[in-house]
Amino acid sequence: MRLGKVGKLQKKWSYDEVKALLSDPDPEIRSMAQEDEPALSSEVVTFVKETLPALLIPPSTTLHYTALVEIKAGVGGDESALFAEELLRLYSRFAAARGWYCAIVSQNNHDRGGIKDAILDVKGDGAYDAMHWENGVHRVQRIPATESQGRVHTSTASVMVFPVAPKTGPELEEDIVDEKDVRTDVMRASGAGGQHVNKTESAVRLVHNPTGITVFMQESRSQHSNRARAWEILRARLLARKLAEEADKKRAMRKGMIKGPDRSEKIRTYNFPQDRVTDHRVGMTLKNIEAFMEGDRLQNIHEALRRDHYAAELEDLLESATSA
Amino acid sequence: MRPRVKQVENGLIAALGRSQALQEIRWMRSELLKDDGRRDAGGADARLESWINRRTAGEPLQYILGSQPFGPLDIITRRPVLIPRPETEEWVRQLSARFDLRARGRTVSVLDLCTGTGCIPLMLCHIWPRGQVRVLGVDVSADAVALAKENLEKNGSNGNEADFLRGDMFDDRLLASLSEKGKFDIITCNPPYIPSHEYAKLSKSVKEWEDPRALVGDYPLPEDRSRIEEIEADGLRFYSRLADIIPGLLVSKDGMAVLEFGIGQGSDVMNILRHLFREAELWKDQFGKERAFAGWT
Repeated sequence: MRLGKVGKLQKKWSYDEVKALLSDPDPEIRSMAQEDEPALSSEVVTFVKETLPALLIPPSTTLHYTALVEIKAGVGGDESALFAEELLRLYSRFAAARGWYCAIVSQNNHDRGGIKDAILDVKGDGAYDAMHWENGVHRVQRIPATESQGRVHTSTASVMVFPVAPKTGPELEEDIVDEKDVRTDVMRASGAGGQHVNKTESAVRLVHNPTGITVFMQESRSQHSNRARAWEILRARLLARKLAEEADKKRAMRKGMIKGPDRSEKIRTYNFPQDRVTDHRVGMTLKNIEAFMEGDRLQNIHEALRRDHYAAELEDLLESATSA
Repeated sequence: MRPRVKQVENGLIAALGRSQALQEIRWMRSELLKDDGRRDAGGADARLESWINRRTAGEPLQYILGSQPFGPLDIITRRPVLIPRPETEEWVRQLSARFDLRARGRTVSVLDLCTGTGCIPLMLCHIWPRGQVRVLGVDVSADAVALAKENLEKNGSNGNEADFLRGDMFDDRLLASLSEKGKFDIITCNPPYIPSHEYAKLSKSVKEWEDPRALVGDYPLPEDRSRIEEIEADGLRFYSRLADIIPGLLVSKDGMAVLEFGIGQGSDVMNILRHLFREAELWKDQFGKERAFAGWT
């Protein structure tokens, strides 16, 4: 019997055919079609939303990139510094849960608690691809401990995520920076040096002349490791710039509809009185802010963002295919 | 933060300037976090306060923290042994790049005179491949030799052979015992090179804490340190001694010697040592100053 085959060879039957059978004059056929429809429909949805984009959209070129995550306190004074530190903790926990290496490269504390800024080094497969969703302004709304009137304050912290290309392996790329373009400033440039001096002046500043990008590193007591770190950060900044330029070019060619990343965009709100975290890019709200800050659920947001991105890319592809 | 800590912080800011003081306090804090994971906040505060006070009184940060990064190593530092300087680290790196280890096809021997903490030979052990070098460090100070041995213990020798012994490079008996071991492929030395008239002007943290025998380029130094300033030394005494002893210690073919010197001493050092070598160069440090003499036999 024909409908028996539908059950058995479900995958061979097109969704359209089953859909047509839903209005078959025979009630028996209709009820069997109704039984089969949901499974097929969800399969179609999965195929369209996940399998097809994965096939059509080229794989990530940044899969093996690791990430330098820079967190800066924004508006809101003490509150903002405290929140910046909470984000630092959130990312450290998230990275640890994913089994990634994670270390603080530099950190400047705020006098009254929290941090002014910090850079986190996150290494592991997919580290950049996951962390780059955190790029942008994060907004916190809550009653500060010091607020006597019980008013809710709004503060911000900004996150910038820079890619670090793998240093070994088949994806090894040409060095993004020409050493001739970089000026190195060190302290202790005047004076006798050597045995005459034992003050630790290990800070290093790199200035990339063509772009004006400046990196200052003073975290370590070793000038050599400050220098190595500064170069790593400079390369990451230049690579971020290059990736952004490439993405812009691609968008221009496709007269696309995907918005480019905007570093000043408010991407997420952490509302403590309402106990929720809302990501504005996908309109996703998660309850239980405390659990979120433990890093457990950041991945849910990243998955939603990735699905959304796939959908937009796909739409974009179709658009350019039909208009071509 | 407790108000007392804040107060001693201000003392250090007055002594070192704001940004240097705050940076050093950050290093102290991270050291405290490192060695008591217990996070005994009260105890840590008290220690921080005493560290800041010691620093304000002029003690070098490296003696307070007890260590100094040097290349890939963390060198133990303790009064009065000379604290490793970043300029030294730079020429050791340069030496390791300029000496072709692979061309030898056998173990290469290194003699480091005036070894101090042992930082130079130990760094060479670590930046060169395993089992390719044999290093020997010599110092006149018993404190230095004991500390160099601790540094060997702490950092290991990366599968290379390393040893330290006490000896005076002005003593011919030391030379006799060294020559019994055969000649060395490389000789390194960061001898004391500060002229006595400059010694008086050094900062407290150098003059009052580090061994004058590791700083002042004269030999022997008066027992009474206050008389150091009276001697007429140009800081070059060790280089003429090195010129006397290098021929008996360094292989006469494909050997290399690298010797650190002080500001403005390059041409004098070149004059004293040039004739011993087939080729010689003066190397600049990372701050653009001439810092080391390199000679090839």
